[in-house]
This record gives sequence, structure tokens and C-alpha cells, in this order.
Amino acid sequence: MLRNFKVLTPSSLNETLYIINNIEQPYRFLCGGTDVLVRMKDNPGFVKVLIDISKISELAKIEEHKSTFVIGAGVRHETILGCSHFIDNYNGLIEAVAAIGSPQIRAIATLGGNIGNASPAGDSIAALMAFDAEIELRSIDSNRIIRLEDFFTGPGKTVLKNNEIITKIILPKFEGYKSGWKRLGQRRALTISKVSAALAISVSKRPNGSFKVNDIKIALGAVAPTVIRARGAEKFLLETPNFNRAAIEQACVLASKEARPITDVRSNAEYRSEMCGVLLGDLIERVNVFE
Amino acid sequence: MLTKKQNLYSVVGKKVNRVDALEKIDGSARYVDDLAFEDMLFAKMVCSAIPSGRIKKIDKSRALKLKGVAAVLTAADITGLNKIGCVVDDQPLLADKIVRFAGEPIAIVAAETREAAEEAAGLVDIEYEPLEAVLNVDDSFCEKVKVHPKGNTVCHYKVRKGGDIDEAFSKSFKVYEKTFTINYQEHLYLETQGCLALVENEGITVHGSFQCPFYVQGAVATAVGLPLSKVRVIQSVVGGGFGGKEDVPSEYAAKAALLAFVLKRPVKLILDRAQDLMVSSKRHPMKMEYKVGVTKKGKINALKVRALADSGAYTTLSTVVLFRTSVHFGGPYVIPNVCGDVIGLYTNRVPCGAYRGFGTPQVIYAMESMINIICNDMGFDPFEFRKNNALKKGALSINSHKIKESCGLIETIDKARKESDYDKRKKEFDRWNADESKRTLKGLGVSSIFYGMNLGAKGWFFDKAGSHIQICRDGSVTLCVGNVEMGQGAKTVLAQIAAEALGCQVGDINFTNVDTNIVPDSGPTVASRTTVMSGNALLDAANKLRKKLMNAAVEVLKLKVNQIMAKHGKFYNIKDSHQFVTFADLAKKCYFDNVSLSDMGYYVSPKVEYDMQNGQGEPYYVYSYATAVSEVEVDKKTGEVHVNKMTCAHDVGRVINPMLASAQIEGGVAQGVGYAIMENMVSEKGHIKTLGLSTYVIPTTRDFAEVKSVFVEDKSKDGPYGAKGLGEPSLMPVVASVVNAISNAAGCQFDHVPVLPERVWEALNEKKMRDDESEVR
Ligand SMILES: Cc1cc2nc3c(=O)[nH]c(=O)nc-3n(C[C@H](O)[C@H](O)[C@H](O)COP(=O)(O)OP(=O)(O)OC[C@H]3O[C@@H](n4cnc5c(N)ncnc54)[C@H](O)[C@@H]3O)c2cc1C
Repeated sequence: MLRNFKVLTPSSLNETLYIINNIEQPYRFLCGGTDVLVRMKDNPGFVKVLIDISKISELAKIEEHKSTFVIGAGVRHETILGCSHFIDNYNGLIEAVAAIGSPQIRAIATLGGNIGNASPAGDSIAALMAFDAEIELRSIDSNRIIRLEDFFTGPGKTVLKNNEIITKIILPKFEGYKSGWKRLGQRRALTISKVSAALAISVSKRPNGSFKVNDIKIALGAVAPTVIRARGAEKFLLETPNFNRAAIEQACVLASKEARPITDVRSNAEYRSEMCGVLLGDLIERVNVFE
Repeated sequence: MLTKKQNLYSVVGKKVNRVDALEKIDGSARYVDDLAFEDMLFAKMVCSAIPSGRIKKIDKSRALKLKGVAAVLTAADITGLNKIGCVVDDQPLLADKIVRFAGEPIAIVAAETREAAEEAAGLVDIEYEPLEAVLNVDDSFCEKVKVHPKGNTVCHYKVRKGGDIDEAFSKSFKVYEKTFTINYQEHLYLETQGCLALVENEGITVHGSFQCPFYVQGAVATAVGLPLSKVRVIQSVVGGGFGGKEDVPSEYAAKAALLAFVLKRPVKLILDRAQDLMVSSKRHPMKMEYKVGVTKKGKINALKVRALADSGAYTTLSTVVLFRTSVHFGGPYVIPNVCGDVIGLYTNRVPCGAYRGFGTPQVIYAMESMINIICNDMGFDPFEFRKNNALKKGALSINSHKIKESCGLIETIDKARKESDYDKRKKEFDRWNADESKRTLKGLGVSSIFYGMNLGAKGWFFDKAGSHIQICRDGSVTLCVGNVEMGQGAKTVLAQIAAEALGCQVGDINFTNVDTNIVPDSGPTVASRTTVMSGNALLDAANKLRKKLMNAAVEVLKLKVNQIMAKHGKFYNIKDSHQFVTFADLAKKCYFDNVSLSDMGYYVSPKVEYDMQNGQGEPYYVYSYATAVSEVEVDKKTGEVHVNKMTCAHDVGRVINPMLASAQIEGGVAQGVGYAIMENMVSEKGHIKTLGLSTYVIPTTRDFAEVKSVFVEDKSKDGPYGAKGLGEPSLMPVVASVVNAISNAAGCQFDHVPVLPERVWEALNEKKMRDDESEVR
């Protein structure tokens, strides 16, 4: 049950920055509340103050720039799903966001919340990481942009300082890429990922008919303390002289080996590792690179 | 098939909409948590943090200091008796000196707000001396550590039929042996356990979410120390039970009542989901050793079974649940030689109890798996094999019960085959599976069941039901029965039965929720017995009232009784429907003639004779039957399973409401599919780890199979209009048929439920390795 906590409701980003610069008690931001309220219920002592940022309009914008899309941290999943930029160019992100929770959850939960919660199973995180997303962290007197990948240090742990907030997610524009996201859960919907994988890939056909990987990014979720990039598999495919089924199979084996999963109530480590390869294989197949 | 005569019924057999649908849709239905009384306190239980140990000290002082805390009660504060066991007296209401499972209630807190109650519960300091815990049935059976001083056996049911079992196996053409295990299943009713108790008229009134208001009445009287007549239980709207609200709510109601009695204030106790998952009963996990002997012609000639059930720390309902196990472990088949032992064992885990199917889905899974193995190995057709061994009129069950009437098993087998299009699908699936390029494997699985109606030999003394009907002078009718509406549609079906018998319209009927002050003890709302028991009790009352109405109609219409027909609110001339008098006018006439239109009804289940020593006799008076066919698809790479379709053919006697009957089957399928492939209660060192809905996962609509339900209506002479029960049979064949389908797709029989993707994946890998090896050789 929720008890003994205070809610602050700043009306602007500046006010928020001011509050968190001076706050002494343990606090959390309240955006959609779909993570933070659950955690407070399980562990009533966990925070004393909630800072409600759900109504700050500066955080809820999506902007297109020359080489990037910038998504406010307070943008809700439902909004992303209705946005044609993403539908057209970031299929992996759309697939991930569309799978988060249920319609009710997506109508209120945010991208910033998914990132801020820092779960290794965070579904949008894996998709964003496969697009080399960056995030902007702001405090009253600083403003830094870091790679999303560098944000997480462990389950629920990040490099966010006590006086910082995530303001933006910056997605580089991608031309000629195909992308996808897939997960395994305990059931088909409304489930936490047991394993997830996201892929962004650009492939070209050589004059001799063989294929070459121009660029590839693979992110794996729920198989390590944070969402990880499968650099070994990426490197292998980038360097492979002939991108074909055999190469893909080998990359899948590599991806499985890069996972460092645990056994918990949802699944076991061995299965999770193996499924990284299966999901990667499925994604490569699904995005249809050889067309 | 319905004959012309049976078609004469006006509302029975019709798709009548649920009478309680609107209030549940518009939110006006009042569940117990919607009720509030002035000055009400909120209660919270303090539960054991360890699975086994001595309580060295309970320190309430920190909790009592918290603002708003009214009381913290422990075993020492109980005004009546500190016992709650429903069948066997082995369980305290609040643990005294010793705790036997993690989650066992030790103290109960009342405070002005829910928040304060919860916080205070966390401030009750308990010092334990941990003892070694017994955490599985094998350890329990050895009895190196005893959970209770008297030993670890809760009950042991034997079934001995025919000759020496080993000799019988020696005569079998083939003998098959396998051991199966099955995990818990949690009821996961939408509405968690809850009740509200208050002092009224020097006694206690309890409102709540119950399946058995009369059990609650007894438990409250015992705990508080009051005569039954001073305890009134009023049923509120119930958001699901599935057996989980049979005996278990008594524990909470007694605690809330105790607080209310001591503090003289209303007390509400609602369990949150995590606590509900931790402390409330579950379906028994079992370890089941099966040995089946078959003749060359495919007759089962011998069956040996040893089933060990994890009863948890207290008996609760294990003795009755496992009695049913001992009747159903051989399935609906004729088996000449049977040696069965069903043993309930104490462990230091949560007590297990009633759950839709009542100790049968586990053994049905094992038995039907054996049949699947046999059919695959000996090349028998799964339907023909079952038919060849099926119970029919004149045959003897494993308990040597000679089936006398209402046995539609073989028809369910035929219908299930036909309606599932089995033969065509089987060919398609074989082709599909032979194609290596396909990502999935497809499989079909069959399972047949029978289910003994009502409480049977072990519970006959509870097997009665009362009713009260009052026809008001405007022709509206109030009904009260002693069995509850818990979402299953009882109110609708019972209103149909009453309306048919009275000749009124379903819309004229108003249901009063169960109130122990109005109707006599009607036993529990369990065992799929409500339609039959309360239905018959209503018929008893309605028939008396109908006579009076008929007499009045005879006067008004100047016709003889046999010339008058009553339906849809009119009593009319059979030959001329324009000559009629309305039900309302008859009610008015009776009122002014001073003829009472208020009456009680009562019904007692047919008596059965049974020898408990050898498990022989009539365990139940009649059975429902069903056959289910599942179609599943298994992902070769991930091991994920999806149940695409289920065809369920049920013999439930007369179907009172086809729409609700189909809905009941759909619900049973959903719950059964969850049990088969998804629901996995993880417990470590006596602590349940899956204490939330994000870890204990049940199916959503996306996981749902297409369900085709078909009915065989082999009427039962003792049922109202020939009805039998369906509540539990709807779930019972599901697990077995789904697991058989998965096994047939994967090419190996799965010996543990739930069949999770991880296990399927492993099994497919093992099979691939075996196949590769044999190729090399
Ligand atoms: C039923 C249910 C189903 C779910 N299903 C999924 C699922 O399928 N996949 C999935 O990934 N997740 C799922 N979740 C988790 C959750 O919905 C998502 O993580 C969601 O994106 C969180 O967003 P929110 O706005 O609700 O976050 P909140 O709960 O408001 O916040 C979460 C955390 O992020 C921090 N935070 C929020 N905004 C910022 C910011 N701007 N800067 C810094 N920190 C910030 C908060 O301090 C807090 O610690 C589910 C949750 C529920 C209840």
C-alpha cells in the first residue's frame, strides 16, 4: 500500500531542476507512474518524495532536426506509436513500444520512465540502443549528452546524478536500415521480457550477387545486468566477407555467448542465452535483408 | 437430443441473459470492499516469516504505539477456541508457539486506516527459533522430520479392486510405467479474499466474499465463542472463487469477527494480492507413479497408482479433496484390477485445498498421459482405445460402482472426434510435421473424464440444500438459496429453474444473496453442485407454491388442473391460449384470499454406500462426462506452445442455459490452459517467490484458444429437469488433452506440469540428439 510520501508538482522544467538541486530526501520522478508506483507498493519506504513531471510540456515534445529525431522524456508510448516518422524509419522501436504492457499502460507510461527505471528487461531500451540513441541529462547548471548504452550501470542503476533529469532521447536518422525487435515472455502479451533482441541493419548487394553488411547494431535485453549490445556478433557480421545463412548462424551463436543471463522465476540462464541467438536469427529473417 | 415433450419448457434450456450482468458492467454491484460502516476499522494479518519454527516472543509494543492502531491480537486474545480446521482439528486460527508455513497468520492488527494497519503489521516484532522444514512429499513421507507430532500422513485412501495386482500385470500384454509431477495452481480470483464483521444484536454479522457462508458461520461462532444463532453471514457479490473461497474465507472472517467482537467496532479485512498469493490455499502439487497393464486387444487390465499429494502444513480440505482423487485416478474406464494409494502428506508449505476439479486434474493428467503413451506405442486410435475401455450403463468403475443411468461418455468421445474434425486435422498435421522447413510442430491431444456429482460418500452429511421463495402480491418473486453466485451464473440458472416451475418470467424474480438467517444450512457452493442442489431445493418450494397458484387459476378459469398450462407469467387454457390469467393476478388473488405464497424448499443428495477401507462402492450417485480435443502448435526453436483450438464435448445432463454452459467451458479452458503451459508457482526453501501478477502469470485473451463446446444431454433422474454439474468438468480434461497434444507434437511425453517453453525446448533438443545419434548408428 502507498503511504507516507509527498508529491511535488513543478510546472516547468526549470522549476524541476531547481527542486532536484536542493532536495535532500530520496525522491523519484513520477511520469506515468507505472514503474514507480509498483515499486513503492512493494517497498513502501523506498521513496519519500515523488516529483510529478507528467504535466511538463517541455518534456512531451517530439522534434525533427537535420540528422536526428528528438523525443522528450515525457513522451508516452502511445504517442510514439501514432507518429509516422517512427513508423516509417524505426520499425524496431515501434515493435518494442507496441509490446509494452497493455493499451492502458501505453496510454500513460513514457519512454523516459522506461529508461529511468533502468530495468535490463526494459523493452524500449533495447530498441533504442539498437539505434545508437543518446540521451540528454540536465541539471540546473549542466547539460550533458551521453550514449544510452553508457547510462546504465546495473539493474535499476544509472549514472544519473541526484540533481539530474533525463530531458531528451536523441535518435540519429537512419537511411537504408532495416530494423526489428522481438521478445519472449511468459505469455503473448502484458508480460515482462524473458529475453529480447533488437536489430538495426544495413546491407548491400555486391555486383557478384553476394551480400555485405554495411552496418549492424544488435541489442539484447534481460540477459545481463543491463541491456547490452552484442558487439562480438556485430563485429563478426561487419567483417564477414559473405553475409549468408552460415554467417548468420555463426553470429547467432556469438550473440548467445555474449549474453550473461541469470536464472530467476521467469526463466533459466541456459535458455535465455540460447534464445538470444534464436531471436537474432528470427529478426534477421524478419527484416528480410536479402530482398 | 431433445424430444418434443422436453421442448415444452419455456425458460429451461434457453439462452437467458445473466440476471446479474448489468450490475457487474455498470459497476453498481457491491463487493465486500465497496461496503463501509461508520467507525469501521481496517485489519491486517501478521504472517510468519519462516516455514517452520517456534515463536519465542511476540512484541506488540512498537505496533501499538503507532497512531491509529486499535488492537493487535494474538492467539492469547481469542475469546472462543483457537481452532479453524474445517474437517480435522489441526489448525489454529492464530499460530500459537509454533509456525508451520511461511505466511501462517500469527497476529491480527486493527487500525483506523488501511495504511496504519499495514504499517503496524510490519511493526509487530516476532522472534523465532527456526526448525528444520519439510519441503517436499518424499521427505515428508520418510518422516525424518515431523510437521505435526502425530506424523506426516494427512490421509491415505486405498482402492483395491479385482485380484492380485502383480499377477494381473503378469497377464498383461504390455505394461507401462511412468512417474509424473505437477505444480501448484493458484485460483487467482479477480477479487481477493475479503470480509467485514460487525457487532449486531449482541451477535456478529459478517459480510464477505464466500463460497460457503455456512462454513463461515461455524468458524466465527467457534472463534468468537458464540452460538450459531448469534452469527449471521450475509453474502456480498463475489468476484470469483474456483474453490479458493470454500473453507479459506472462514479463516479471515473469524479473525475479523474476533477483532469486531473485542473492539465492538466494524472491522474490514481485505487481503492484498501478494498476501493472498502467499497464504491462501492452492491446488495440491502431486507426485504420481503410474503403472498400467494392457491386453493385446487394447483393454486396460491392471492399474497401479501411488499418488503423493502435498497437503501443506494443515489438513484443511485435503481429506475430502484427496478422496475425490481416489475415485478419479483411473479415469472413466472399466479396469478389472486396480491397486491405488492416494496419500496426503504434511509439509511446511502453504496448505492446499479445494480448486475446481478437486484433486482430479492432476491424476487425470497422469492417467490420460499413460493412455497417450499406450496408444502411441501400440498403435491404437486414441478415441477407439478410450471407447473400448469406457464406462457405460451396467459397467463398473474402478470403485466397482455400477453405472445405472445418465452416462453419455461414449457419445462425448464420438462427438469430440467429429466436431474437432480430428481425422482430417491429424492428416494435415502429419504432413505439416514432416515438412522440416516449418518452424512449428503441430499436435492433437485427447482426454476423457468423468466427475462424481455433489459431495459423495465422504461428504454426504453436508449434502443438502434449502431455499426460500416468496411471491409478493404484485407477482414479483423473491428467492433465497444457500449456495452462492460467485460469477458462475448460479443466479441466472436458478432463476430459470424457479421461473419454469412457478410459471412466472425470469424478470419477475429477485435474488436475495445468501443470508444464513433466511435459509437453512445448504452446505458449500462447491463440487459443481449448485444447479442440482439449490435447483432441486427451489423446485421443492416452487412446486408447493405452484399448487396454490394452480388452485387459484382453476377458480378463475373454471378449468381443471390438467387443462391449464403455466408459462411466461400466464396460466392459460391448454386448448385456447387466449383464455388466461396472469401470474400477477393470481398472486393478488391468493393474497386477498389469505393464501400464503411463501415457502421453504429442501433437498438432500441421494444416499450412497461406500467402503472406505478398499475404496469400493458408490462414491457418488451419478457422474458428468466429457471428452476434449486440443490442437497445439509448438515452436521448434523456442519451445513456446500455443493452444490453437479446443473442442470440448460435455455430458452434463440437461443444459439449463446453453449460453452459460458454453461460457463455463470457455472459462474452464482458459484456466486449464494456464495450468498446463504457463502458471508456475515458484517456491524456494518454503517461500513462494511468485507473489505478484507479473511473475505468477495467467493467460490473457491473446493466449486464448478457440473453444468449440458441444453437449451431450444424457439426463439424470435426480437433477432438476435432468441437469448435472459442469463447473469443474469444464476444466478437468483441459490439462491432459493439452499436454498430450504437446507431447504428440514434440514426440515425447511430458512428465511435469506446467509444460513451460524452457522444458519443451530442452526436450526437443534431447530428441534431436537422440535422433542424430540413431542416424549415426
Ligand atoms: C502492467 C504493466 C506492464 C508493463 N509492461 C512492460 C513491458 O511490456 N515492457 C517494459 O519495458 N515495461 C513494462 N512495464 C514497466 C513500465 O510500464 C515501463 O517501464 C514504462 O515505460 C515506465 O514509464 P512511466 O512513465 O510509467 O515511469 P514512472 O513509473 O513514472 O517512472 C519510472 C522511473 O523512471 C524515473 N524517471 C521517469 N522519468 C524520468 C526522467 N525524465 N528522468 C529521469 N528519470 C526518470 C523515475 O524516477 C522512476 O524511477 C509494465 C508496467 C506495468 C505496470
